[in-house]
Amino acid sequence: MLRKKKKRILLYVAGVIVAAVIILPLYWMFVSAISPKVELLAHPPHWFPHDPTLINLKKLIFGGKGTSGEVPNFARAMLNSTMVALITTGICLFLSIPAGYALARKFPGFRQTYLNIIITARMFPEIALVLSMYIIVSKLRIINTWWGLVFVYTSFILPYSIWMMYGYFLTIPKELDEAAYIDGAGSWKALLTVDLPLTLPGIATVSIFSFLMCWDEFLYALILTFNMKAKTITVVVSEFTTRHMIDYGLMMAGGLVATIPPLILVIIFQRYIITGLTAGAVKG
Amino acid sequence: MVKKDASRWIMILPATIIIAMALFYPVISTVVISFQDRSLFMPHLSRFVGINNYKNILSSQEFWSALKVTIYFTVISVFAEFVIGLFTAILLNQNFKMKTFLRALVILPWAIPTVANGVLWQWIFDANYGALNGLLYQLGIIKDYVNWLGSPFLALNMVIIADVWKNCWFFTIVLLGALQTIPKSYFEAAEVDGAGFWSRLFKVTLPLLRPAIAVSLVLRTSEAFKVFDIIYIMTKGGPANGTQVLSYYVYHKSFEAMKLGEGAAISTIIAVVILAAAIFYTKILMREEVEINA
Repeated sequence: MLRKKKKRILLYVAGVIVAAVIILPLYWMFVSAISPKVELLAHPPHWFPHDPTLINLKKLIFGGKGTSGEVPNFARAMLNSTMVALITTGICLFLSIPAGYALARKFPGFRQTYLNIIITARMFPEIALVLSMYIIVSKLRIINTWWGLVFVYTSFILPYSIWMMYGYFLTIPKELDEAAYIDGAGSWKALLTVDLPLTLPGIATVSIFSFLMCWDEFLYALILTFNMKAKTITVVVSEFTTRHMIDYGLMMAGGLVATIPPLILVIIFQRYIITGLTAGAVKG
Repeated sequence: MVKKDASRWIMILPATIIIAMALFYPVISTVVISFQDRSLFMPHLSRFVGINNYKNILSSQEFWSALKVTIYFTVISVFAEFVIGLFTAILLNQNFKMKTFLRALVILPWAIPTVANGVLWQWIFDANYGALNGLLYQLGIIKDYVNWLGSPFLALNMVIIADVWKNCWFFTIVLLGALQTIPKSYFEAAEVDGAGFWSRLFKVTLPLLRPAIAVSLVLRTSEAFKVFDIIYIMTKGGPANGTQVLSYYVYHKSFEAMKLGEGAAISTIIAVVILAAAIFYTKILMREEVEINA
């Protein structure tokens, strides 16, 4: 009995430590974003702001001057990130649903080779392709536009989403398709009316991962965009670190604003994310 | 019955063409550039220079230093992430009240953009006003503020801490998923037999988790080997190249020193290393799967 009690206490102590390790840095980002500059420079730090303010967040959203010059146009960067992520996700779904379906149903001999080849190509490190991507995107005259980033992100996310959709279509019994064929449906009709509704959870998983990957991407956004026409949120946040006088309050507000959309997505769609993360590793 | 009609080609071709254009073509083109003396702004002046770029790279001390830093970063961060991830996964697999809350919590750091994570830790580690200095000073652990990102080796370890904080929960989520598929009776049987925590861990838990551990280690290792974002944000490869990993070295060579050919040569070397590691890992994985099935 005593041993059981000791184990209980140990569990809660460990649980509190894990919670603290996760929450404290996030808390500090939030507090720093809403602290006036004087408080950020205090010794020792003000763990609870005495005089919280929304000035940093307001500056980011409505523009204005920071200590180190003009505040970047955050609203525009958010728009760029959102549009690039949405367009890429849309294109990847549009291409990977039929491709995944065809692989699962119509290429029984050839599909393993196909999947192996695209997954191997995906293993190439992003940095190794950055040069040739730069040259291709320049030649296509889509450098410094949404489309330049969409082009690159699609090439990275598409193999992965084909692989995921293929896996989901495999879980749907073939007999359902066969019944549809007997009723006179063609391949497209079978896909759209029979299989597609059953793969909605898979589509949700692929969409969320694709959106998060685009939102998080930094290297290509850094190299393929020059100004606010196309700069994404990650590039704009990174620019805080290259100035001589870093305005930490503003920087934390920027980090916070960049974090909120993916955080909300993850909280709402937690179930799909856990499925997506564990699918590969647990099923093998 | 497989219905093979013309539509199957219409279904698969668009995606295949895009992958060929946007993925295979750049791969080949990188390899080609690595044998050229190419300038970013005057590509028509590029000449074929044979293996000169490779010679230059392999004989430069900077390359070997970047390789060493990358290997240190990869090994230490992945190992720390795995150990923390494993123990938190075991914790979250226990039946206690905080479990649901913690399971929702561990996914949050994973959602934070790497760039935002980088600026957050840069601020926490700040030499003059950072929270880490403030906290350690108040607790009486340090007497003077430390410049955490100011010396090469210390900076590398601090960047690793920032990376571990964001990524160790990936292991937690994956290993917890795998743990939940193991029947509780396995652990109870071992407990009845009088096995303590450690012997249960090494004799029951780890062997049963082996496939999940292998896959997640492969994924995180290849990601860590490619690390760029957090280095760019927190240290820009400095101080004194102490945190200059291979990816940052490629970036520096290609876009700051404007030596595209050499940048492409390093890229190709990285790709070959990762592919070799991937093939090696897959071979081991395949063998393990056979063992488990048998």
